[in-house]
Amino acid sequence: MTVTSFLIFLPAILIGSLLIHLIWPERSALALFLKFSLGIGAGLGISSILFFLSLLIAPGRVNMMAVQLALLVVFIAIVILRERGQAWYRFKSPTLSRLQWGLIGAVLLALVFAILASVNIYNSRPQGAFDAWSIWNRAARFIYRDPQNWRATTSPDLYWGTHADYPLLVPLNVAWGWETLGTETQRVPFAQGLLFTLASFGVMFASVGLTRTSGQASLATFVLICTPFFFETGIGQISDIPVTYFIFAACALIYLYFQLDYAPILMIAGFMAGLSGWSKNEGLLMVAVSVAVLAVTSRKKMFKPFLWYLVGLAIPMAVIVYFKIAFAPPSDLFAGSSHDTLTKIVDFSRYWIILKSLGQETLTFGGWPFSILIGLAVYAVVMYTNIPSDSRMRFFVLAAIILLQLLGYCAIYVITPHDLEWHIGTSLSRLVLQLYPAGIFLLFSSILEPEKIFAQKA
Amino acid sequence: MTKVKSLLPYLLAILCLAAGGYHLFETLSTFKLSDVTNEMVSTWEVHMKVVQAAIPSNVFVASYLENADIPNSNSKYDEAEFFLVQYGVAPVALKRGFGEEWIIGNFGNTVSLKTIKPWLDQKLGKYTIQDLGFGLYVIHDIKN
Repeated sequence: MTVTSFLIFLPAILIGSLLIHLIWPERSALALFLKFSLGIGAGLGISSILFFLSLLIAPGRVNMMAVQLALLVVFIAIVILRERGQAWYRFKSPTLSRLQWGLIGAVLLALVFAILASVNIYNSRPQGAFDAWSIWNRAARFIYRDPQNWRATTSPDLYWGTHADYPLLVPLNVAWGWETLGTETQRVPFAQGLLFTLASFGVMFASVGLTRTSGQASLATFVLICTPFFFETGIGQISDIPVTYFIFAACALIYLYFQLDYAPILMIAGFMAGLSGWSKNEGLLMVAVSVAVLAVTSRKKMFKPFLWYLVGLAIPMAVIVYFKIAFAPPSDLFAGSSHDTLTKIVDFSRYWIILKSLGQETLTFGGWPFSILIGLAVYAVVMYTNIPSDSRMRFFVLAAIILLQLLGYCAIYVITPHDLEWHIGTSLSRLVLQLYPAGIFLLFSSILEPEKIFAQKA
Repeated sequence: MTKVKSLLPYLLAILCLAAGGYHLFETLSTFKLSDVTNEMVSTWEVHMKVVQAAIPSNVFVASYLENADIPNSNSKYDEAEFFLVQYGVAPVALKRGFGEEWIIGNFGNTVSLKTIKPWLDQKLGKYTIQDLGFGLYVIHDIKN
């Protein structure tokens, strides 16, 4: 059952990978690895959207595996037709130094540690984290157990704490996974969570590898893999790692666009940003923030690439907007009156509580025995190198997206109708986590890589 | 400074590996196979199957009562148990208090049926009640 719980997602992953390859036909080993890692998320996003559409058209049991296999055959045919006569003979596996091999080997060892730890955690807590069964798998059960009345998962009769307004990427995939296997096994949400977690490592390694070197990519991936909170959240069967993954993928692709100057990459970035909004409401903030930053940037000879980004956003955003208008009950976060909200905005003690909590989170984030965020800051200071003028634009665009996203989270805390300290205590670490991989990517894409240091030493 | 710089990537890699290994060790030391069946949610799931079977399949909304709802009770509302029941009886949506034809009572083992009956008689009039064990009841408000 464990293996089949992973295998059922394979067609979706292949569809996602092939779609990305069609949009961005780069053939280097790292680019192919990046596209496969991006394909995991894109494929799972596509499969959930397909299932959502099928439930809209004909509510009831759907053989999603057959639908995906048919789509996969179409994609394979298109890719074969396009790849005929392409210069695959130019493909070369990368040549790595001893240092690079050593670092990659150590990353693989850390990955083994992390996977073993995740299996242990799953075995002792198969139902996942609190939010897994109270929100995400609860929604999946509503859809799987009564697909004809799947809309009941967004029923206004549900208690606000079940968050019936949350988007459905994760629950829909779990529901069709159960349908495919014919049983409500916890291994399906576990497999989905683990796939998003592993895909995040893949995106980290390949994207830093493309922007810098394999050694730098290994170090960045190392930090992410060895963050216990990241792995624990990933296998907790909740949507925080999917939304983290999509935010990070969109950020990395936006950065890569500026480096490679290939506009269709922005279409994939837009699709990923859209899927972040289809995973969790925080992703909608990412959509708004990224569109705003790219719109400002687009004034500088970037109007056409910006349109590519909007094209990528279109499908997931259409699905989200329809879901929010037609089905989702109002969010609990905006339940307060405008007078209440205004009172909170001018209450400066709330800002102080938020700042203080952010400071504490900086010290304790990630489950490390020491403050990883301060450790990384020290590492960045020592490894600082002047950012070349041609790299500054991408650095500032990504930094602006991350900073504005963080400010957006703080703004929600300011106006939250819930008890502020309770709200911060139950969510801040996960919100910081959502920006953590994008932050690591930006840091390791901007500082001195180990290869250069050793070359200087020699 | 160059020396520090050349040492730092190694230091970072070693720290990461040590942290990863320590985390694995921590999960190993807390992991016991026998704990799996005692895991809270899985335990509740067993009882919820009985509750789910007691509610007709055409019911989409049910009321939820618990100890804190009983008059003069000193108990506090247990939100975690509400979520556990909601998860177990999906796709039935639970609403706290009376009002729906079907009611799930989660009163725990400390409260007897005899204690809650006068309160239910006063609130409901004609009804049937199934005692499902583990302090769980399914009440059918016939007059509703």
